[in-house]
Amino acid sequence: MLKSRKHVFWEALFVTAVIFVFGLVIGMYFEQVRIDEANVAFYESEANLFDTIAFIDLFNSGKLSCEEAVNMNVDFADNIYEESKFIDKLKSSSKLTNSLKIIHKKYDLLRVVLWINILKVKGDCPKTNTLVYLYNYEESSVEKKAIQDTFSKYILELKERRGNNFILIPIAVDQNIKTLDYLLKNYEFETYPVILVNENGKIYDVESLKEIEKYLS
Amino acid sequence: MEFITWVYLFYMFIALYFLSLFTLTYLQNKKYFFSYPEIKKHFSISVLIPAYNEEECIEGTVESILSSDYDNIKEIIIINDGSKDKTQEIAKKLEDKYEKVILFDKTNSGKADSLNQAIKIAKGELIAVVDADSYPSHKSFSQMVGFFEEEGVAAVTTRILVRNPKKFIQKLQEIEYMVIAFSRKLLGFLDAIYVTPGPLAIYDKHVLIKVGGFDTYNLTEDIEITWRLSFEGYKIRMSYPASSTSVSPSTLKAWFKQRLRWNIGGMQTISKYKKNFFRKGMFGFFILPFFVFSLFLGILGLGIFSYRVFRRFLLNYLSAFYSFDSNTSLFLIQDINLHPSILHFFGVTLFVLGFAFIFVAIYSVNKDLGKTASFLDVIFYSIIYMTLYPFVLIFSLCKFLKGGKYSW
Repeated sequence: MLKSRKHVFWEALFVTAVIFVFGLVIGMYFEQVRIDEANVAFYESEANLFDTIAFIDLFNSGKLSCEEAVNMNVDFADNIYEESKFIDKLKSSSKLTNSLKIIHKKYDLLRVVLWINILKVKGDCPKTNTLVYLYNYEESSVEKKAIQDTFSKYILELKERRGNNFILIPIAVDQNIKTLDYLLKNYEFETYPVILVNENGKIYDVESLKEIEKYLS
Repeated sequence: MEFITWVYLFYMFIALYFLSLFTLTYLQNKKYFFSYPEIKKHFSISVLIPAYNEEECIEGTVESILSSDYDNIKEIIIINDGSKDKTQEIAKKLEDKYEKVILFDKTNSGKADSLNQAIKIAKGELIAVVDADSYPSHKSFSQMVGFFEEEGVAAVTTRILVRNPKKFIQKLQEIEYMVIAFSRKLLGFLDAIYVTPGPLAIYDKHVLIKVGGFDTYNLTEDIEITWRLSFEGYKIRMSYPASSTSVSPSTLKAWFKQRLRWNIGGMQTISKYKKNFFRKGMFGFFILPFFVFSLFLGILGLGIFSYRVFRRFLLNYLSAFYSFDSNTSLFLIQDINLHPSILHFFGVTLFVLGFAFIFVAIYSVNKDLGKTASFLDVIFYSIIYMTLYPFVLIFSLCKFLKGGKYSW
């Protein structure tokens, strides 16, 4: 009456492997779809960056006003800020591939280029307000992660409140971007996260966040 | 891919594998679930009831055995293991009242030793062990004895069900017992039954004596004897239509104590047979690894889960603290992430499949009983009750590693 069916162990392994591989393939497909979306957004931003660079060249030739140059940078910074928020959300859902990390790095690179551009513009237009938020993409310390969360929320609220009044440039410092590493050496930051306001105000702790508005003109 | 993702995927693979294994085994053997061999040889049975302070149940247990439809119960031996209540007095009355009942009085030495002593005086060809608080169903013995006609069968177990669950914790255990019974039957089709529980199990007396009887040093002599029989190459069968109801703990404290005993007993058994990994057929290739890996994965899983929960809690606490400090919002609508990951999909799929498994188990066990389980109880069982178990496991492991003498 009782049939011993020990081959069921192999059958179960086969069924499991099929379901699992199917699940992984579906998962990778969905992740790829999201990555494609992020990539399309990035290509647009990349095109906008070239537009901005060309615009700055035009500004340097003296054909544009400070206000126009600043507005161009603000628009571009806002665009890539919005896109990177979307990328950050995808980060927690992207488990199987590390493509999003690379896309994030590309965005960070865009923002480094933007920062350098703004530094160039600032020579002629000193009233340009900038807020550079430097943080770690892979932060292992819970305390620093909590500080980063608070900083992010604070600058987001500030941006919503003050709009085009300042250029917001959040950059992850641990993405192995050589230009950024050299750039940061000039500022001698003690630790990250840090918020650099108008090239001289450095905010390291949450208690000092309120001081940001003092630095912004 | 992050290390933690690998860990999650590994756990999901293992869970999916066992779900597939059980599902396939069920589908392939569904029609044999309630079948049992017809009795050709009417083996004589000695029923042993080890009793320690069982004044409340002992009479009911004896009555339920006496009402059995099996025609060759030779004797019912009540082993009074030095009880301090009225067990001895009640047993004496039962002995006087019924011809088959024998009172075997002895000083307290534990359940395993009590059984070993009683086996020596038992006259039956088969030994049925019935816990003093358990009531075998009317047809149980006749639905179990037929299995002994198959060559090599040394023990037959059955469904153990909770008797009259009243409290919530007992209702959860009722579901648990049903899932265990269903899983054990499935394991039976794979020659991988790992326990013949005390509420009702029948053994071949000759084999029991040959392997040296029950282990007096083990807290779960019913697990140990099953492993030993399997280790020696004997078969263990399960009669699904037969059943025995048993009293389940009605308080969390009593439940915890019972589970502690089960787990420590299981660990003692693992320790005894640890050298037989991937040796000795199904015993070394499935039962032993299944037990050890369940233990290992349970503890590791709880460790990872606790670490993640603690980290998340700490992060939220610090974020809230800093947000208050900087007069920032605690939570922003932008923080809501509507992009589930592949792990979420796998997790939900596994939960649904696991849930379905529990329902199939309950349906299967209740098929002949006409009972149903509350949907809410099953939800609570799946989410809360099952989550509690790894904590008991860790506590048991600490106690086991600490050593010393354990008590019932």
